[in-house]
Amino acid sequence: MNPFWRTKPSWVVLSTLALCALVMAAEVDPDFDAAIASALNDPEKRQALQTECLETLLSPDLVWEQRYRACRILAMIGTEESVDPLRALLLDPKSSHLARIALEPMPYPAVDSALRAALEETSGQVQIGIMASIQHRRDEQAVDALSLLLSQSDVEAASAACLALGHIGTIEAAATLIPWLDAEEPLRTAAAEACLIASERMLQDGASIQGWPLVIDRLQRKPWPRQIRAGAFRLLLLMEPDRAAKRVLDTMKGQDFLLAGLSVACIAELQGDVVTEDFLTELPGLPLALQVSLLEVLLERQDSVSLNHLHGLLESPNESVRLTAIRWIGEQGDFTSVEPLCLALDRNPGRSETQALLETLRRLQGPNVQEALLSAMREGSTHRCAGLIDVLARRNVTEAWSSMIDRLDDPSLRPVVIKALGDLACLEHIPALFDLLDTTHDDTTRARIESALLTAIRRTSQQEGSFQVKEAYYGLMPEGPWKNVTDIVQAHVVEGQLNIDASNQVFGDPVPNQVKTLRVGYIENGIPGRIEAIEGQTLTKSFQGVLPEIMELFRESLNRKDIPARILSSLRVLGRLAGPEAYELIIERTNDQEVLIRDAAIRALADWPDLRAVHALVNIAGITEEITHRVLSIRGSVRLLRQALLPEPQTLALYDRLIDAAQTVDERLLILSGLSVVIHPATLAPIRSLHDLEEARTESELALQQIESSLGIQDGFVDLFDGTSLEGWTGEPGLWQVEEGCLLGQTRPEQPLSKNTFLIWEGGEPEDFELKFRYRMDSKWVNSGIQIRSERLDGHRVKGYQPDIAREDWITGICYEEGGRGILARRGEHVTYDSQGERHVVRFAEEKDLGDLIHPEDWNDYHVVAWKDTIITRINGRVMHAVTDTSPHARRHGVLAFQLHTGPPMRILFKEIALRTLSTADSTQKSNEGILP
Amino acid sequence: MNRRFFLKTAALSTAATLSSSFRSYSALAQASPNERIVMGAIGLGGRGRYVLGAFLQNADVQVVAVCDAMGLRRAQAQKMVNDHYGSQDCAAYIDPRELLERSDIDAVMIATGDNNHALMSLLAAKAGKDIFCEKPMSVTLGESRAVADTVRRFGRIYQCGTQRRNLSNFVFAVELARSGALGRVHTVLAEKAWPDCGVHFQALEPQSEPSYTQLAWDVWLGPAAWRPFNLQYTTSFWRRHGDFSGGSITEWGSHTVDLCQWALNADHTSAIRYEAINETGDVEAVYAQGTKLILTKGLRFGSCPIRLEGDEGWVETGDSGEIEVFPASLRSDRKFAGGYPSDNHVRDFLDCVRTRQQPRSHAEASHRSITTCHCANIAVRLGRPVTWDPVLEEFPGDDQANRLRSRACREPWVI
Repeated sequence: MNPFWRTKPSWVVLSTLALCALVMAAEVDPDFDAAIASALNDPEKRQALQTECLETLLSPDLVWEQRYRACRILAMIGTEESVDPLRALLLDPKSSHLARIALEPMPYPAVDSALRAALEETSGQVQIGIMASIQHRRDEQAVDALSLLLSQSDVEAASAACLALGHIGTIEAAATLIPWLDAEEPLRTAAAEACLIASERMLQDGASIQGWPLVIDRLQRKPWPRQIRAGAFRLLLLMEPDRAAKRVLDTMKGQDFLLAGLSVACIAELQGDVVTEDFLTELPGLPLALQVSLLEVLLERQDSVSLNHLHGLLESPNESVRLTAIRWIGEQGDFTSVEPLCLALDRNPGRSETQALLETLRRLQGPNVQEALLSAMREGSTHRCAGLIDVLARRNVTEAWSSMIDRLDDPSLRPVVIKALGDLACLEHIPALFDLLDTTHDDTTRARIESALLTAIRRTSQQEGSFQVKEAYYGLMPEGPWKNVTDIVQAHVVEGQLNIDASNQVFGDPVPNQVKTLRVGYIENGIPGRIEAIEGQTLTKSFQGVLPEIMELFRESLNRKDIPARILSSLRVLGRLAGPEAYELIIERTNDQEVLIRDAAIRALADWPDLRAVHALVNIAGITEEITHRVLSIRGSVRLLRQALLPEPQTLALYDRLIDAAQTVDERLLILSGLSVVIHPATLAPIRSLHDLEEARTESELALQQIESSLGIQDGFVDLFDGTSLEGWTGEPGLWQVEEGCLLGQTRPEQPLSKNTFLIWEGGEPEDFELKFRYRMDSKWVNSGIQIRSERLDGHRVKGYQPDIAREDWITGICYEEGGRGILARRGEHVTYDSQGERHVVRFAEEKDLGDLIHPEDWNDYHVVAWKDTIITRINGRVMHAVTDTSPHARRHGVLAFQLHTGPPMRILFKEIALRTLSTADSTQKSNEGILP
Repeated sequence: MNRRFFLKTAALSTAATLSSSFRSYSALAQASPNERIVMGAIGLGGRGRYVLGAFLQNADVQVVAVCDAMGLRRAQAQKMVNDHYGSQDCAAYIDPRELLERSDIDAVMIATGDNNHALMSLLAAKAGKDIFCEKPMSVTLGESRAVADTVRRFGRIYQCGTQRRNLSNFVFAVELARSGALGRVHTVLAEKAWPDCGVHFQALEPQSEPSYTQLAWDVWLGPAAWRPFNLQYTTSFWRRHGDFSGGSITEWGSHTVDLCQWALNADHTSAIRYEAINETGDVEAVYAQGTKLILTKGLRFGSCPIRLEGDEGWVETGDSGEIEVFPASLRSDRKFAGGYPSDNHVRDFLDCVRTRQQPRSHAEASHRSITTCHCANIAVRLGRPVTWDPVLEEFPGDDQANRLRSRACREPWVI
């Protein structure tokens, strides 16, 4: 897979380019230089282009641009053929520079003779320009003509001639300059500059510089300007390398501070070997700022400063010098550096120096470094040990284990030792860590040991092949485009946990304006797996496997009734460790007789990172008598439900149970906060139930509004039954009537039904809706139900979904399909029919437990939400069943009707029937497919 | 020699920070006028005034003169300086040569348009001034070579305005590479400013030329070829124009490529092979040791991001201050601020003016990194790969490419 920067630009990039071009360079024609670009690699085209340019130059009425363009092109492709036509232009002030643009880069001697000729025939600024080009080309044949110009009255021209001669830099050229060192300013300074330049040239060319050091030496004195004096000082060092080091040493110590600084800087350019000792001896006597400069420039030379020197500098009274030395030891040091660095630690320096020392100890490379660090730790004072122990842990020196254990006695070292033990422990060390839990410790220390144990377990389990990110992609799955983001995802695995946002901020945007998916492939305990998150979601994966040996250690620990502290610590660690094995062990203990153990187990469960724990927590919330445990379980449940990984029907079913369990205002508000982010019409009912509480009114109002506006719900409930007549309903005459404000359906013994019959609402065929009513069974036998989204048949009959009502204790609250597939979902089930018609069942509650909530004799609240492909039915505020139907049999709209079933005579009453149509036009809801634990 | 600088009480503070090669950011406790560095400022558009502000914040600086070809900017800058000192002493010049003639000025900051950077730096060095010059160092590699040579020749201090060499998140990333923590660094990625990176040479409609004091056109043009005046050249049109800039690659490459070369310890050299790899002018370059440099768009973390990849890890960071490292064990405990202030960089320069040592973005290093950018531009412009010899500083056997190393300067603005 090509890295992303190699892909050919898509239409996205090109249109961005077009936009940039429009916005930023408003009138640029991108093809302006196209003719040149295409000619560059084609000799014929080049020739043609050159001819065109030369013709342009010759034409009389010339716009500036045309002339410039011609010269620019000739600069790139002009051959010798173009030199003559350009010569003429050199003399005219209007065109001289343009001609030079063309000529100056050309490698032909004809150009030099053209420039020399022009030199003689021009004056003033034009001549200055000609000289600049001659200077650039370093034309040796121009020396005579230039030296004549030196005696010109035009001082500017003479100065320019000096510089040109200086750059040409032959012995002859340089010689012409010397007399002018006695001229008036500014010519004098120009000549001095030219002498410096010429001397550099002569040195570079290996020409003889005889006599020149004397010339340059003069230039060091006043009243030459400072740049000349500085330049002369430097140049002399290069011209007389044998005396250079001494010169530098003398100047370094001198009174002229700026010159001293310059001399130190020049050390970088000194030829040959530099005797470091000579310089380092002077170091302490220098001004502080200069000390660091000297050290740095010596170190940059890479030939001179030995490790011994550096170690010695660790004792300098100047902190900057020490810090510089520490840094360089980090790059060049070896095992001999350990002791001097530790001695520096012993001196208890300031924070930044201590950090620098430890950083360097961490970085030291080479053989025997580890041994040196170990012995330094064993024999060392407490002070250096604190740092060394951390260094050894970071360097992963497992051999240090036993020495570190020995140091646990020292209370000041204990925290750093415990952490180091956690970082270092291999599998064979872990029992020792468990044993540490036995001793009585204060809470902080105990917490540290637990953390260390956790770190050690996660690391060893990971290393022995647990959860590893193998590959990760971000983009459109599976067809692409996508981008390989394995590195980035791997970097987000911390302590065996992966937590990463599937967002453009993290990964960049490989496919703009499309919703992307993050797909992560991993291997866990040798088994490959895959998880995904859609753009905007957070992808979490906690490490799920623990080595069997370690689980055995936990089991042993949990049986140590004689050491309760060990049990409690183990439970806490298991809680943070998570995973299926840890879960089993903790669940067992949630029923323990010992209060403390039960408490620790429930706390561990309440902080559980993944969905595995949610059912147990909801159970505990409902059962427990301890306030703390109830609060903790509610809190934990809400936290997990907020991960939004379960389908809404199951999420809501669990929230219903939590609502029942809650006893205080705070608990209810907490549940409300979780509910308010479940954007589904079926959330409205439980929120409304919380709305009745005064303390929760504001929040629930807000939540209702937010959900309704997210879903685009605008209409309210409409009564379908006026309490006095059957207007709006049609059914078999004689079976349906109004009695005491209720709608009564009844069958008589003398007229038994031959077929099921229905009271159909004639007000429409609702698609997505909330429907509520109350019912009461008023006879020994009842079988009824509410048809929704159903198909009309002849004679007051329908077929389709029927949330059911009956005397048989298993029937009320199931979903039946009249004239269709039969029982779709039993009580407590969320059933999904997929696109092939296959049936998938998830049980979210026990049939019997839900059945206990239904009043056999009294009024019950019935509430059905139909939303897209899902139907959720509640009785008395608790989800009874849910059906998600994406099969070919699914219906999305149809009539509503109440049923009277064939069988013994029956009476059933309905009242307060209301319908709320949910408009779907503006819904922004994204469907949330869950991942089941 | 100017005795004002003689530090009788050299008590510089010495707070160097952990695991980074920050120099001592010293500030004299009590800067009296005698110990101040006297400065002039040349080129004061938006960026120039920002940098001027950064200089003014330092108590040991005294700005005495400003210079700009545009009357409006000249006045604004002059007022800014006078307001700061509460005086009327700031001089204002149109012609930078006049400012440079003043013997009381020790150092100058230069923030003209790109096409004047090299020439102004050179003139300043010849006049004995230390130089802080905004990036990019040059519009051709020939002129930055001339600047580096002149600065060295005269023992002047030069700092290029690539302030990211003194910003902690970039320093951290570069140090990871330099220290070997990433293993052998095999690929570095440097972000360009805009996706396209061509330059053009189009002309605008002539407008009537303003007066010399309103806008000194000759000064503004500097060494570039003369053309009829049009105000748009000075506002936006110069950005991709080959006479005035190096386009997208030098605009950000002056920072990002510079940081990459620093990370590779390549401050003394440039890449040796360059090839454009797609239509938007992304360039792949190779150094002598085999390391690859990729100039592209698409890195993360804000503007001017870089990414350094080694055998054992990688690091990516940018102006947002965020930094991502692999493996995670190399992460720093520090949180880095975003943005790209110049304060540290300016202070580094001022300290070096006093000690005469090389600041972090010194002339030779800046020349070498901008050379890499210019070579990349040449590869794009010629539409074919080019090969560069960093020792001889030429394209061996490639006359076409060699011709693009420099440009003839317009008199009197000659190097």
